[in-house]
Amino acid sequence: MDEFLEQFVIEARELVEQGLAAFGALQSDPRARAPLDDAFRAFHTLKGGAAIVDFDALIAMMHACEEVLSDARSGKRILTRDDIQHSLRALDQVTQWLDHIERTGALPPDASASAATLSAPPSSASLAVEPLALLREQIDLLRAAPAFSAGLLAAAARIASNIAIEAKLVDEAARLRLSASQSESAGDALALLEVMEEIARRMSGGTPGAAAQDMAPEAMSRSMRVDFEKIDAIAAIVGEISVSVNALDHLSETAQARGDACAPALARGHAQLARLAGLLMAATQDLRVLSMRSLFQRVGKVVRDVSSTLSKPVDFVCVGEETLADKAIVEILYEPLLHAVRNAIDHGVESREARLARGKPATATVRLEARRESGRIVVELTDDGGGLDTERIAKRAQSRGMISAQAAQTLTDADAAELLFAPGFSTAEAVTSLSGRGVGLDAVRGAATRVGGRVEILSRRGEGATLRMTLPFSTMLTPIVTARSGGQTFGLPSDAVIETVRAGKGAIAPIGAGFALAHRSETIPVVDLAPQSGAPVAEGAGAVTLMIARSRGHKVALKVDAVGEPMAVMLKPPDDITARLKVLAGTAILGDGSVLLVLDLDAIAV
Amino acid sequence: MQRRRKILIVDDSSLARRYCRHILETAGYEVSEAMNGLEALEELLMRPADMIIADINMPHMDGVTFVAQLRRQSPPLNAIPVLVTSSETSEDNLAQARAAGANLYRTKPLDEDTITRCAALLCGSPNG
Repeated sequence: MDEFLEQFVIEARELVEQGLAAFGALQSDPRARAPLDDAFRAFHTLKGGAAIVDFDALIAMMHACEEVLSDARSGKRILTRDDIQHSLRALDQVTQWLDHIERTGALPPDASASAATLSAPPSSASLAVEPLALLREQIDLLRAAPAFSAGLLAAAARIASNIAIEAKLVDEAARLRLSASQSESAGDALALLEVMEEIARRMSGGTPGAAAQDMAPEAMSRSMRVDFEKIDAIAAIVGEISVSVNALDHLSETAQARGDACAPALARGHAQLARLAGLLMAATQDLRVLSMRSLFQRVGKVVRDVSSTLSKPVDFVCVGEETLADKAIVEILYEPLLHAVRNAIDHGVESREARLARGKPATATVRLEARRESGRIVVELTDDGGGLDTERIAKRAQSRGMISAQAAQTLTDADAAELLFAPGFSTAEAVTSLSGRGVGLDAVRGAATRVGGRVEILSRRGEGATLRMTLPFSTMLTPIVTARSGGQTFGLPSDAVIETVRAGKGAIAPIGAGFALAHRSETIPVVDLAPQSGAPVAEGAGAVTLMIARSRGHKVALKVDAVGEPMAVMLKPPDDITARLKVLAGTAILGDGSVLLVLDLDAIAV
Repeated sequence: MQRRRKILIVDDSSLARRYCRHILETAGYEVSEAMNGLEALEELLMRPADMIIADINMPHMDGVTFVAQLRRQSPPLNAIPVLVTSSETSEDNLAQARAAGANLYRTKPLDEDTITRCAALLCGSPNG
């Protein structure tokens, strides 16, 4: 006898006994809970076993008996004497069949007959185990889950990862495993779901129709999908509300100055509105906040691609990928980081042989770190390559007429780093497909300063280089400080202003074609703000007010008539007309409706 | 990863367990068994598995309760992929199993193909 059939008979006899005992109890009390359960399970398990040994007639009979018991358990019916008799007769029949099997070693002749008066259960053909369908099942499961479950999420991710690997989507599988290990909340689950949906899209041939079917209108119970455009629209309105509130401030001050009776009430009203507008602004900023995760993953992919194309083994280390920043900031970081990491591996990292000769490990390390520092985001890309080659940079700058031969001789490492940011500069002898045409770094700096941030390169000769980008946490509001010069008011990014000093005329001395300030044992070039922006130069004697700020990595002292208020404004990037003024980072509308010109300090000629 | 993948079969029918074991061992997986949800949890605490196939109708602790309890454990137990099986095709059972945190639900008897494909996709190939 087939070993399964043998096992079936053994188990079936036990189950028949179990059933008989249960019905014995049910004869005295047809509603007793435990016997009902036992009887149900006896029929149920017999049915299951029958299916394994392909005993169709038994399946049909047991299914019928099971249904009666199921209704009795759920209270839909109460077992009658007839029901119990019918069940006992069924168990009798099972016993006879078992005897036959034991005698003959095979199923009874009428085993396949579907002659049962009650229909057999629907074909037990299982749903297909087709990978894409399975993946979609997992996605649906997560979307429909009543509450966040870290375990279910991880299990589903594991399954999706196996499916992805089978479909040769190895990168996506890695992303899944990484995300799954870090998911702690419904928010993280969304990121995971997006990866799973992308895999499903790619497996179904990337047809938009197929993708649309995957998207349920509701995501995990605690969150919603919202288009970024909708959030941006709200952010724009919130920005305008801030402007209106500032206008009220202005009005309130005017009323106070005039001694109007309504001044106190106006002041209170404005204070209240300002507080609410501030809360609204913060809440809106919060909506647009993303983590660096997907950015870091993109960079990681580029590292792998470039490393493999150039046959330079690279270890990619990430720190702080859970750091949050406004979506616009994260987007600004994409191109520069991708470009910088290509450069780092192409130019910065030496060949294996060179590295070994220098006593460095053959595998280079590229480290990407993001962190929050008092309201700013700092992103650093560090490689352990050779650092900047100052001599080579000096030679190239000289050959391009950017610096004199003498300057080339005395060029410091820091100055060399600054030269890299000059437009059109590139030390690559040949333009490779990877590194571009030297337009990278000046565009990088431009993107950063436009939002009130800065970019620097720090290099340690022979040891490596770091690209550091410091950006505001959010582009919605840029902190600036105002200054008056030549009758005009300008805005300067607060981040760039180090300090304000009042210097006696004696502290400023002519140097070369300009002037310089002697301050804290440094010599800082002085720039008169007025001529830069086309405003008339103010003549003055006596002490002057200077704002010491950062321009292109160096300090400059900006000569102004007066320093104004610090404030946060919504910076509008230069449009076609104002872009002609190269020194403009953008414009902002003030409370009194006037337009404030905000300067790009890196564009100021020293 | 060289470790052999281990699958836990939870079913009160020894025939069902044996049937499943036969198919999975032939495919190269390591198999362990439990007779109900309670036993399964005890077994898992001693020896974690890479995948679980659990029947719904069992005494002492049925499949749905078992899965719900499993998902409440700490890692790595809570993250084990689960295939729930039943002779029933009722919508109710399916809904309950999903809500409890089961990854897949299939009706018995599962043919050989289905079992091996599920194993491959839920816990990978036998040798990792």
